[in-house]
Amino acid sequence: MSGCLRDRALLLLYYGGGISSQRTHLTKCEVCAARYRQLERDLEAISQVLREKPHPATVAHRSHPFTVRWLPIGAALALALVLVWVSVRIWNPSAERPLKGTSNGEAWSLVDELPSNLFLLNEAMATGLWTERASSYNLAAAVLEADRPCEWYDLPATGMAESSMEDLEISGTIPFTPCVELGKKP
Amino acid sequence: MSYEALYAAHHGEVLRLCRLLLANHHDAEEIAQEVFLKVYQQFQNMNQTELMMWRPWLIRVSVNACRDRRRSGWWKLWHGTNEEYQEANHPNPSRTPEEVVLSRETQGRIWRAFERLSARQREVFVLHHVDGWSTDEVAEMLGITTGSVKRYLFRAARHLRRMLGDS
Repeated sequence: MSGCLRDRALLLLYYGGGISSQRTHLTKCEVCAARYRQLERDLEAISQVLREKPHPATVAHRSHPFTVRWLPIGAALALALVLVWVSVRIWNPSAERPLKGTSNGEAWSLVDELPSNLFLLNEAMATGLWTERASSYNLAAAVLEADRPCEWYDLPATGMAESSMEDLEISGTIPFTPCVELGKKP
Repeated sequence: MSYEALYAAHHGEVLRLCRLLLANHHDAEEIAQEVFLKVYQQFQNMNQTELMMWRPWLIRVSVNACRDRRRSGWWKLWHGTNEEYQEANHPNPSRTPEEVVLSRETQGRIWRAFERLSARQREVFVLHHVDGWSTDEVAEMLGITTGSVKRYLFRAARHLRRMLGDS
């Protein structure tokens, strides 16, 4: 079969394309001529099937067209809703309003709910800050980051952030900045 | 030629074309009705002595109507590939049951492969192979070049052979 035409070339010849050497080969090579005739038969068979009207029973609705068709749309809508919600939570200043009018007493009750190691570094400084004037910004940041000690933000990116706070305390080499610097005073 | 005669002569062909292009029998019937409504309006407006090549005109209008239907947003959402060919069922008493099953299977494979072609490939393949138009005529009806018609035909045939060969 070496030197014989590929299927692509046969198709090109069938639709009037190809080059003269291919056409010449087709007239001389019996194998390729037989393949060409087979191609003609295949296309005619396909056309014949398409010409016949299919029996009504041959066309049927899929059992779950709604699910299949709407699944990606539903997922996209859900994702869009989540993104909108997240962006509103992050960027909309009104999301912080509940904390603006927080009194010192309420602030301390919230602080009590935070992890104890959040303020283990410099209680005196922290106390000074809170008694001086509790910043709603500081409080909001602390509440939002309640699960992670704010000191972790200041650790260098050397993998230390993955160490537990207890390890750091034991080693006595906690290189963090006090919590009080997490939020700036307005 | 009267409108009734025109309808009788070409309705079947238009309906088959729409069915092949839309893969949905109900939509095909609807589009065929729309096409013949346009024919009727054309009949009202044209000079009775005017000669008109109705067949190419009908094909062109049908293809455009099917294309418009496919492009409509709701049709895409609800129909896209809403219907599929399950298996052909053309009883033939001269065949053995094995042959009938094989024939059904083959026809089903052909239909499934055909429905996976792009819209343009379907149009060109149907007009050329099923309806028997030349590549030049298809090009004129679809408003594309003859070379483009041949390219679409080539791709369609190659995809069909691949899909039928693989399955």
